[in-house]
Amino acid sequence: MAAGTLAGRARPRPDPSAATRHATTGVVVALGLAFLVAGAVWDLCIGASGMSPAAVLHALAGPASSISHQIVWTIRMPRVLLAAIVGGTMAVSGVIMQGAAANPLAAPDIVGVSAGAALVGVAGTVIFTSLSGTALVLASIGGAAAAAFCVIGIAGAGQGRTGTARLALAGVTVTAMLLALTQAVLLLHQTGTAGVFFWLVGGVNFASWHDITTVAPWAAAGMTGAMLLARPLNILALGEDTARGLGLNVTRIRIIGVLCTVCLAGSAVAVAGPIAFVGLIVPHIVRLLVGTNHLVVIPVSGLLGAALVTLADVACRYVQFPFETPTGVVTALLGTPFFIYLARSQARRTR
Amino acid sequence: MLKNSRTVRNRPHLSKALRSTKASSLFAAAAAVACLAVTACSTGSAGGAGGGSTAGGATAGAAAASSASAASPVSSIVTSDSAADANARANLAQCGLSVRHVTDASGTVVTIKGDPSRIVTVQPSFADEASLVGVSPIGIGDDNDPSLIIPQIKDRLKSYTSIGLRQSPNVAVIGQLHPQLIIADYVDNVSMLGQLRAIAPTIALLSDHTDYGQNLDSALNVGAALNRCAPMKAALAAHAKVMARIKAELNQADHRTFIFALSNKKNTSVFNYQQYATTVVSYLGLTAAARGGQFQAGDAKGTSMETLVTLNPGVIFYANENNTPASLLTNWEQSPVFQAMTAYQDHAIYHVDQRTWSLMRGVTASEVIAQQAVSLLGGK
Repeated sequence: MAAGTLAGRARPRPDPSAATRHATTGVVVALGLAFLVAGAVWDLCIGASGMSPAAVLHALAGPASSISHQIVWTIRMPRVLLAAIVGGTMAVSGVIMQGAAANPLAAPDIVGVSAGAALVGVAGTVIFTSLSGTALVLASIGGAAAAAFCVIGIAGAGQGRTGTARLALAGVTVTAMLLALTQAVLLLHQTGTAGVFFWLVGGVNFASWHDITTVAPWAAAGMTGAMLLARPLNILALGEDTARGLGLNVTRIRIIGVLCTVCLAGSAVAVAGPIAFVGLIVPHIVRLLVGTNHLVVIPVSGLLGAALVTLADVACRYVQFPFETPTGVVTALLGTPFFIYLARSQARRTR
Repeated sequence: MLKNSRTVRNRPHLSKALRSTKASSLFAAAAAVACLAVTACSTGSAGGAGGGSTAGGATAGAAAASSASAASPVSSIVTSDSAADANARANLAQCGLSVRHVTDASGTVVTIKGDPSRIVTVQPSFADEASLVGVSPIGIGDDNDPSLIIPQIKDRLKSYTSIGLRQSPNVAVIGQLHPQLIIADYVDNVSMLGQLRAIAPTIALLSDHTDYGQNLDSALNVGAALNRCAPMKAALAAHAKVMARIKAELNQADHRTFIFALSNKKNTSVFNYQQYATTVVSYLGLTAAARGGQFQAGDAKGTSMETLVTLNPGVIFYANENNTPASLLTNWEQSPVFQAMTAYQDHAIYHVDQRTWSLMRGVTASEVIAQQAVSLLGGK
């Protein structure tokens, strides 16, 4: 059951039949798409100036000069798109980290990637105030990469074999240090940190098209890398020794995995802040639903991550409408009960 | 485009609950806010259109401030005993006694002997008010940044020792100064009053997260604590004249709606009608737009461009955190949606100094804010 699944390294369980598995995957994909589309449409309809779905369509079809068109196109649309992109990239980066580190707790927010990007994001907003928005995003991705390679260095991944526990411990250690530094920056610069706390919870509340064009190339590169890693990760799931025996260069796969995570999660955090939970839990939910084949888990995680953050963005609008509450506040609230339900029902079935 | 380029800064409000501890508690606080979300959803408070809703999103600071005292009216400036709040009235009655029992904002009765001259103030606004009656504090909270205190106040102060962050002043430094009296901020320092009282008699007064009227009451309380009531009343009377003169410079028919916003690269927050600078500008005759509905509770709200455009104030005063030239709000000015706003069309979007408009408060800061507002608005 969950023990095997949660470990992220279980062999694909013997299925009653491949057809059942395909049918389940089909249902999950269809439901994920339905939730994503419903969430996106709902999100597009929320805003201080109102608008029904029909009005949104009418506004989009209307002249570009009209205010309602501008509101939907320049304020609401990038927000919905960014929610989907950030959700998808965070979830896929979680799959890659868990697979590459062979550790169920691995996720961008655990292995330092989110914390590295967040520290640079905070420092760039509070201390290095002359940094432009684009430069800050690039610097944040650099921070994510630095943190990730710091973790790998401490865990000794460069010298061959890396115990999975060592990688997780190194990640937790570096994350703790980065969080402490972030807090120090905030504590010592209290006069200019109002909006930074908002950003630190993570959210797509103030998204613009510029954010989309900034994050898109990184997301595309990361997603491509992730799909290329799917087969090697399937082999690695058989166990590190077996994978090596089969000729897999485990160290190289891990480094490529971290690079993918930096592209995916680093860029997402740089733009939307460290939205927690998505990268950790969505991959587990997906494995519980569709099995452990990374060729399926990666795209389905992207889909469900996108749906989750889009729905979370809808929910966060209602906290103090028409004002903004960080999207990250509700991601865990939406995802955790679902995960607990899945894990428990799976446990019952296998008992 | 921006009509003017002054600079200033502001306070975290959403952040107050989140600031003090670690990221873990940050997420715990996030979960608490999320619970509010559920409440809001279950009561169906959010609608498609821009109506108000019922869920209260009061921040810790605002909640503490409102529990301390209700917002006092600012249509008239407190210069007489009768216009002051009950605490200040009772404290003023103690003046002249060699041993005074001063009731502070926390309701604690603090015994103060003689005329304290070695005093420590956590907020620059209290330092401002003490210096108005001839007492220059030996220790002031300036967030370890001497430039925090605006020159109009600093020019009147003698040299002082920084006691560090206003939110969490350095108790060891305060102790070494051997003060006779400590004036703390009720909202910011409530959790450390015990520590401060172990050093010296400490009164907690209102400054952060409070309005213009409440700060004038604080000035009277400072006068009572220092046993200098008559000079403080005289200083406030002079202040009232200055404010009346500045107000008279403005077109008396100018009752446009306005907001004061704070922005950085990642966020824009709009302050409600109770925020300090907002109450000062309201005194001048303009109408605070951010009131009622969801604006009623809490003092700073993360606000999207769409919400700002729907609010459509006639005038926008805004500061960028750390006084940076660019912010999310300045980016919005490129948008046709933003450009459709009345304030944009009327060239009534003014960049102001974060320190003066959001971090100082007190008698002198209010005069500077009022004068700047009138200059920006163009006078008669």
